[in-house]
Amino acid sequence: MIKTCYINGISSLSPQSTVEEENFDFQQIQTFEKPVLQVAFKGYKKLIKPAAMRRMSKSVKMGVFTAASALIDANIKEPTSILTGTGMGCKQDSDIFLENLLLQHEELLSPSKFVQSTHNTVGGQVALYLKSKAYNFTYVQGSASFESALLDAQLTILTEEKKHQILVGGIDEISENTIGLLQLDQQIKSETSLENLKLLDYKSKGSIIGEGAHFFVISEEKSQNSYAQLIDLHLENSLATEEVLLKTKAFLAENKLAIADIDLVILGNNGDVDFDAYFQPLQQEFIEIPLVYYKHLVGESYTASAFGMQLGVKILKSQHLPEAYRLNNVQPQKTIKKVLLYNQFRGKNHSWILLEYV
Amino acid sequence: MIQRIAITGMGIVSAIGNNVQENLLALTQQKSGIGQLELLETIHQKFPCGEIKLTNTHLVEVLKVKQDETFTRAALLGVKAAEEALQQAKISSTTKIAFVNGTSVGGMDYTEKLYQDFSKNPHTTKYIEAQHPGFTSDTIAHHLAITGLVTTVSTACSSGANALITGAKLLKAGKAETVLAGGTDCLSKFTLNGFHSLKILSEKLCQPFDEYRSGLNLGEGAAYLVLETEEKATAQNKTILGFLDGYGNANDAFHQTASSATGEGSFLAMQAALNSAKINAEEVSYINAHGTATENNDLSEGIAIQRIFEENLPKISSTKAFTGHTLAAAGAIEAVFSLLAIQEQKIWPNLNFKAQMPELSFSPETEIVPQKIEKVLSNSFGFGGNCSSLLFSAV
Repeated sequence: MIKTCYINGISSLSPQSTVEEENFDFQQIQTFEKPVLQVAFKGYKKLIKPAAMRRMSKSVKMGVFTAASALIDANIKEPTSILTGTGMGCKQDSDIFLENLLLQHEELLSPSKFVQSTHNTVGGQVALYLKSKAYNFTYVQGSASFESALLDAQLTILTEEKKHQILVGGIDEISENTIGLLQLDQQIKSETSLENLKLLDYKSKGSIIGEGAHFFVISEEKSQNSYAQLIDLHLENSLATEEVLLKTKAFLAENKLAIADIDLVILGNNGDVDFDAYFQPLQQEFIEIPLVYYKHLVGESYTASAFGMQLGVKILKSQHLPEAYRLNNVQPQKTIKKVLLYNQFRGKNHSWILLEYV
Repeated sequence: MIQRIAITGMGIVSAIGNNVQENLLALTQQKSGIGQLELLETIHQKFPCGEIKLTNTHLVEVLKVKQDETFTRAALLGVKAAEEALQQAKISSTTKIAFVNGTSVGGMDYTEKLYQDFSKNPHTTKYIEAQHPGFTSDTIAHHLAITGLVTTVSTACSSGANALITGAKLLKAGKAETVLAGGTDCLSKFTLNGFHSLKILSEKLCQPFDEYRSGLNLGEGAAYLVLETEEKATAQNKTILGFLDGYGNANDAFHQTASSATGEGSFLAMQAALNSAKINAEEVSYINAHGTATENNDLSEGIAIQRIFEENLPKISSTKAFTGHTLAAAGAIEAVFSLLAIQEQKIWPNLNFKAQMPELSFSPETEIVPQKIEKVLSNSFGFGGNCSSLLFSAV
């Protein structure tokens, strides 16, 4: 059952997007001096009509915009599946409905925030925008939310005998209402002044938070626009730091690969002193090849790893290693052909993704 | 080579019983579990609900949950149902199984209780993460010692059905050997007030497919199936309860919460389920409908059923009047009821029905009908236009 998954279109909105331009630029780096990294992009009307936009929350806007522009990038009109992953869903609307419920003691509540609060709102709104009646799934599994959607894309291609153009994306938004709770839970660093580019130097609890939406178009057919190939991915719910290397080697072996076959590793280090130890075994094992990280530039979120995948895909296509993203000083010795991504959040929901040059 | 998906275990907890046997007894005795709220603290006491009368404290005791574990009610109900399913499937070691959960609000019951007080009570901050559904799945997985593939589908009221679809695909693709899949949701003020704000809760016992239906009753519960390939189940001499032979998911692409007048999404989902099972519509003996008893759903679903089956309508009923609408658990709970219909060769009655809808050519079954049942179609639809249909076959 050997079938290939090609990545034929991408679009990304992140704290590295500018007010006008969605896709991040390898050269122009946005910097932040606070632990909350928001998406500054304002150019939604390029693809969304103002009337429709008025009712959209930020994650719906980001999701619909990047879904639509990934399809344009892949030159595809109708997706055969719409798959989304989100850690928190439409968090802002959900928080507002909850707060109104508590403050108004369950009286006189408007349904508008409730109807937008389900986790599959973005998936449903993308379907409405595209008038797509296709298969439509949403996964919500902590830091493996996007990877779960990506896994469904792979399963769909493996189990169905037809041609696919699968739209798969990860979306999460910052909710102003609950930033305080994330600070209380030590998910956000407590330093009052904080430079995002020095994220790994603080050696304190928590990280910086971010938001964004990242969509991909995946098909078993290669196109002129193909960026890369998704070889495989793997999820583990919980494991000890000592098991990371073993699990990594086992995943590579399943794909008939070894450590020496990998040309670049993209890691999800977020500067949390309690959990970055999970990345150490790979930082030590892959000592002779370039290592890359990204959460210092886009912040932590349950779907930050979808940005990581965009980064990997773009590096494969451009063969350019952006300086700001580098975790070590090793220069690539040859063409970057195989990229391994590994991510986890607070010791849970570990994921590995293998990408290949096409 | 495409494998048939066998069901080797099932477990359930709902307002009509704490295990499969109790649920079967209530279905057979036509005894609804919907009534006055006793546990959920809310001002909306006038709405009858399918509440499970087991307190969290009691569940913690019977499930032997450790002191330091952080359980939401959805996780407690989930563990209860999952343990029954694993036991029936004779799964002694859970290390190699994949877990696909369906939940809509996850740990919202704790979030709404603690939201304003997290900063005052440091010992409650561990529940801050509980707001996301993955947290509830992680908790269940941890308690069951499942460490590998754990994922959660959250597509509102079709989550449980969709979790079963993902589970079947994992087996077909050879990505898992055994899958525990289903859904769990508990009653919360969040959902009760949400559905109330949409004005679709009934103050009476719900009447699916009735001309005078006046809205839904909410419920809570959990149900899981153990899925294995037929080959593996047979090789291990396991009792096969039925097969998940077909499934379909489609989007109505009409409105965020309302269904289209033509039932396009439900029509496409049922059609896809029949196609993937490679059967004709007339082979279906029974439809366990979504049938929430809202004005909109029952009309849209009824029309979609007529479009698919035309003159050859199978027996139809909704079991929502037994359990209430259990949201993300509904698809899994009704999967268990569909398998019980096959096991008992009986159609479960559509309680509280009196008058046929003038727009439809059919009435649902109101008495227990013994009949030869080979294939059951089970529908689940959710917000976001999400429509799913599962096709179960007898062994």
